[in-house]
Amino acid sequence: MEIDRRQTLLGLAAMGVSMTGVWATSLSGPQYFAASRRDGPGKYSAAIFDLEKGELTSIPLPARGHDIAARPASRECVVFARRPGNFAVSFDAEGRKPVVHFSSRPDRHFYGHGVFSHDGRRLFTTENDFENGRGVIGVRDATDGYRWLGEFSSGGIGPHDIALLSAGRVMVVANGGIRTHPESGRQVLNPDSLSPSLAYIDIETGETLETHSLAPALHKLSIRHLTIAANDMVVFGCQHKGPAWQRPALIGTHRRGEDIALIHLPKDTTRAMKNYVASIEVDIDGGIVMASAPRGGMAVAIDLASRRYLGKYSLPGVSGVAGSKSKSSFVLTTGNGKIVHYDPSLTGDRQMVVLSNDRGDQWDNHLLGF
Amino acid sequence: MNIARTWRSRIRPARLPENAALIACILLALAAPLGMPGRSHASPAPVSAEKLVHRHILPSYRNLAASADGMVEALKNFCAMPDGGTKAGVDKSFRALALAWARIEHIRFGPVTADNIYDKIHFWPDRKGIGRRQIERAVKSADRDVLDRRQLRKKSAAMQGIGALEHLLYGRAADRLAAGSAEGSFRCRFALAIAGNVSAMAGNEILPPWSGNKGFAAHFLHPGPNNPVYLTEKELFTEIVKTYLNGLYIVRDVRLAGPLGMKPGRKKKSRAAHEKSGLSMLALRANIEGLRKFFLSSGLAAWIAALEPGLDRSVLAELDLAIAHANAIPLSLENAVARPAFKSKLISMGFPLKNARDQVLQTLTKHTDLPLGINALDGD
Repeated sequence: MEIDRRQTLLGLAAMGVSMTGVWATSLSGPQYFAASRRDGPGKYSAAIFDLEKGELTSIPLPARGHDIAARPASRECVVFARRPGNFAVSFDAEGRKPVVHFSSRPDRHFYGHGVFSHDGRRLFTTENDFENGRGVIGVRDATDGYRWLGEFSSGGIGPHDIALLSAGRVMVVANGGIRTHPESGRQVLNPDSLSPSLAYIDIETGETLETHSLAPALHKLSIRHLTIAANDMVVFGCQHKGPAWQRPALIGTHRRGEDIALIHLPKDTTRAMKNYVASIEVDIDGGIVMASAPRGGMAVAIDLASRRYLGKYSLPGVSGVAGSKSKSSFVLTTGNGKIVHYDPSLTGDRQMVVLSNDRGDQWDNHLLGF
Repeated sequence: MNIARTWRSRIRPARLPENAALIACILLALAAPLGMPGRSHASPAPVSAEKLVHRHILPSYRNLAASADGMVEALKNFCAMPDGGTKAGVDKSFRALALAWARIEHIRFGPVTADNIYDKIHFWPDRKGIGRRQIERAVKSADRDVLDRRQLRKKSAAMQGIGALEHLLYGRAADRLAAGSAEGSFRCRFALAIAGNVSAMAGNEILPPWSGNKGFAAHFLHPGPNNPVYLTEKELFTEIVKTYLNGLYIVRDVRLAGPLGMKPGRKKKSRAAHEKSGLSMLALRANIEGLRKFFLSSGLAAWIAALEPGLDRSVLAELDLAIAHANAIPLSLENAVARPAFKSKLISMGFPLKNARDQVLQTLTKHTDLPLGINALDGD
């Protein structure tokens, strides 16, 4: 059934859910959500939506997008091409600013992720120096049409997701450890020497301050996505590139100066995740993490303070995850058109509310709340 | 709303939830996960893992192992008598080996995923010429480890498979093989070790787990709650469908579009697989033939037909058209790209390959709840 997006996002009431009920435990939190998608006719775009008003704006993309970064002190977003793409597009949630297109340098491509400095003046993007097999962080001037300012090493191969720690001076990069080249698409070029790591980098000097690797036996566990939880705890999600009968833990945490610690979920749950975490985000308090496993059609929740597995939530095609406005609540998107609000603190039908169910929209890997 | 504050939704304040009631609430909610309403399979799905194993996977891997054994024998003869007209046997055996792998290389699950066997059998693409450089370095330093297949196995994937063998037999320095010199002898024994390595991987490490009841075949044939790989039939079906879809993607968007210089955003042409031996076009055709056999023997064709009568014939017609285009090109892939008349045929090949993929994907997306969305197939 084709349902109008704006109407269905307003459809909470129609489903017997009062908005005040949904936000009853609201503290503060994201006003907007943004994600890339492929629509029914196969066109790519990025959209910004509001949980109450529905879709606010969307912009066409030349090819498949990936993650989106929000610029602080503005309503501006930048959507990045999925690797090994070259484009990035800046657009405004309220359509007040002109759309700005910019590209990676000819000998680089984007990895689909980026983050702004806290003052919103600089944009940092994970990029591939593909001729040299080197991960780099591109730096651009957001106040000047995203003019390229320079770059520094990502501290590893195949940098993917990126975030800033709370003080805004140090960034953490998930180096997936996988070498690729645009000529061979997404094919792994270093199958016998994958080297995933987390790298902490001073954004002012470009100096790599710390790098942390998994145990050598886990060198096929590619660290891809991360988020920053309470107390600057880095929570990361992995994709295992080894045989399917090996089922390593896919989620881990790290704090600077400490060792990486993997979180071991129940064996059956780990197995059902099919060695693949797509998105990982924390709730508004930074205490509950939710990670999506689209190949397993499920998302898992973990309480970070106790490192306790809270359970799994079955949702075919689930991929994008973002913390919503209340403690422990999340918004989830799927590759088959659903936007779902999930709040386990509510009961009955209000716990899981389908905000949109437009099968034409295939929401991409990530969802940004801002 | 203060956006500067909302930005901190990614930079979390130092505050941990200590609300035990809330945690209990989450535990309770997640204990009985709410499944989304979905469509059921057209029941029963006529996919047959058993037929796929016995009609396609096992025969193809047996052919690979036999071809590798043949390569070993041909090289033994050639290395013993490089001037004795034995090169023709090497050429014939290499062709058989390369095409045997091309017909089954779409299988990217199972024993080939252990210890990088897939890449060790054929490391491709090798756009930086890593294999060539490592091979030449080993020859120059007379590294005797590369003459022993067991030692070779421990080395880089780029210097121990079909691509490495192709370099020694058909690369720039191939004429030194038959020179009767110490270097020629070393190169020949190196090639022999590579062939032995491929033979061992195919015969000892891929075939047994597919053949017995305790190896990977048991996982593949019997999905269930105690299966370490496939918990449900749906997971197995997904593996089969993804193999077909990914196989056609690789053939069209990487193997064909790369040498044509038609990859999105990349004008530069990439090297074709097996161009050095002149087998690139034949290997591409073998890739498609292998996927055609996979489509039929897996029951995927019957499944599609059950969902939309006649669609199986349509998909087969598309695959046959792509094969016919390949048959009409008597040159290697890169040589064909250089000639406008043949280049247009290569471009034409892309359409039926796309149709054969899209028809299956769209039909299964429409009628089943298999996880075939853009993220489940290849998120990032």
